[in-house]
Amino acid sequence: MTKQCFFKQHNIEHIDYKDTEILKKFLNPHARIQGKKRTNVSATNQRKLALAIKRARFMGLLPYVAK
Amino acid sequence: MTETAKTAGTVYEVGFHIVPTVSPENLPQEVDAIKALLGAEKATIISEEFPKLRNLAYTMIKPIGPARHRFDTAYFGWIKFEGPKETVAEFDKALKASDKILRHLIVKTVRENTIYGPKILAEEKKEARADEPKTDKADKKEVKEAAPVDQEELDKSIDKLVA
Repeated sequence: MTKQCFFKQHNIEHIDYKDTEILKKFLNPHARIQGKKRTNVSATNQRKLALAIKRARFMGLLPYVAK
Repeated sequence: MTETAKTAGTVYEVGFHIVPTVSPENLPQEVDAIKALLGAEKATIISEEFPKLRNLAYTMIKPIGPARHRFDTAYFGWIKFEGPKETVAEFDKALKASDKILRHLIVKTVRENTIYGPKILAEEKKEARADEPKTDKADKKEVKEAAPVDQEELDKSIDKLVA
């Protein structure tokens, strides 16, 4: 059974860069963005997610790298 | 709908870090200064969050005068506003020139609330609680019920052995 997109499940249309609690779910322990195979997020939302994470990194809300 | 009407309705959001050297008493003044910049550009404020001191994920450097200052914390706040795109360019320039603003980001957004994290996490916690305690309690009850029976049986068997 295929898993549904997280953002579609929760009716999230706009992925906010300030919503770090959600964004953290899609980072690996090294703070890298997980691939679409791992996140099970739709292609559109995966692009929005990546942009939101990059914005959060620029604003110092999420790290670029973590050990 | 004309193009001007379309651009006038665009909702933007500015997220900003105010340097931690500003004292908490002077924070409202700094926020008012940002709002005044928006007011000067004829933008209307939709919603906002007052800046809160938070740890940064990495050290940020801001050149203030001749010195380069390093910051590990900053007051992070945001303001949602509506206005034509020309206002955004001017507003961006004004924020860049400010010494009190460590970093800022202007993005296009929607009028509605876009932060779902706390709500979703609370729901997930509730679900986890609903699943876990039932099994734990059931196990504990079974153990409690089983324990006294064992003791009585033990006592009887000991009495028999003694007699």
